[in-house]
Amino acid sequence: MSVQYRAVNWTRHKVVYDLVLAGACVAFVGVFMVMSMVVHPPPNEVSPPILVMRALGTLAIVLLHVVLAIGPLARLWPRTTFLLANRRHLGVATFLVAGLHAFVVYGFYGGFGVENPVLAVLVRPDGSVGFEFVGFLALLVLLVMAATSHDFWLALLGHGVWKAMHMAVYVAYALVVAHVVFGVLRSEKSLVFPLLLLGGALVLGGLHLVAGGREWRRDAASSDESEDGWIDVGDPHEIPDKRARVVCLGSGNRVAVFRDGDRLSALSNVCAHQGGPLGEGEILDGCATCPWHGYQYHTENGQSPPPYTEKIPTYELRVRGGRVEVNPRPNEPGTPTTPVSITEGGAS
Amino acid sequence: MAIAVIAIVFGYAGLGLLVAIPMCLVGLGRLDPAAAAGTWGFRVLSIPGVMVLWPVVLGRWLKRGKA
Repeated sequence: MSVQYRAVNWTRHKVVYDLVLAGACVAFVGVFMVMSMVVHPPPNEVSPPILVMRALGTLAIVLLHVVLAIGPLARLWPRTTFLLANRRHLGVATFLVAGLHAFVVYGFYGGFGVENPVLAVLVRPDGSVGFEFVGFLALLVLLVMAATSHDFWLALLGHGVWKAMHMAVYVAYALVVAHVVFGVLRSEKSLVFPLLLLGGALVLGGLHLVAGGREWRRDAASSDESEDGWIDVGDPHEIPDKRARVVCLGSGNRVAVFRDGDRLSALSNVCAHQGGPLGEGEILDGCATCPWHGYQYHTENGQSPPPYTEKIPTYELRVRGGRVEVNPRPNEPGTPTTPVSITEGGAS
Repeated sequence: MAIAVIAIVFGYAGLGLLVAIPMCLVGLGRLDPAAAAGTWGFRVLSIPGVMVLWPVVLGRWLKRGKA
């Protein structure tokens, strides 16, 4: 949450995260090169520039898999939600590693300007293109996402457009897979790399399917309507203190019903920052706190505590016959509501 | 075909760089008040983003200028 834009809002946690990430990347490249030298001893050794090229390319693919796995992992195992907080740093790191890989490729095959890089790497003498061009396109997509990853772009475009644009990471993934399949694997005799790539794609696909299926079932199970259109949320005592229950409205919008002691309040489940699932967070310092980046909102009015200015829609609640119900019509963002008591309306 | 794609990409980025310089000096603050007080690090870091989205950014800047 920032009221003044900085290049990076460093915190101790982010500095530690980035140092660990950088260290892990250096270690990966080192281990990859040593193992390659062991597997390919002289006279079949691979030249150092090609080893670096392969190590960086492989590292970029591994990082891309991790970036894509974090979302569904956090949905399936809330304990891993902390990984989401710095996902953008990981995404930018993926672009930097992929860019370094491209730079080494250009340096090796294009002599850093001795030859035209376009003709030396991207386009064959007969004018056709190969896997290198596909890799170039993947790098362009990663560049677009890294260049627009700052909160300024999120605020300028709105999180709907920004998020849709950043879904292009799946296009980048498809291009990277094509780049590897049509390039590296064509000359690779060992089955290790093809199996690793296939395994990675299957794990990613499986995680997305399972997480999506669980969300779909949860939404389908939470749309019981009363005669006047209010949506049943359930027994308020079953909502853990300082946490929320998320219900899906007929419109497809989700509402997070928070319990703070014996008081209940309802907010949009969509955080105003990046559209994070607010209802998967908890109440900290009296505010509903998004699990993704810590954005906070007062539960009674959906407003961020000053000096922050974010607002999200609130919803009216009532308790009838021991069940809490929510009015599916949202209030304007930041509209105050009166919290209801879980003991109202003859609660059990 | 491939050379045409590459020429378009680099031409687009070149025009974006021309837009990025005035944008990062004065334009960002017109688009978002929080950016007016942004650090120089933020302004420099915005250059690649402006190069990518310069038609959007330029369009909004001109629109704000007329308003």
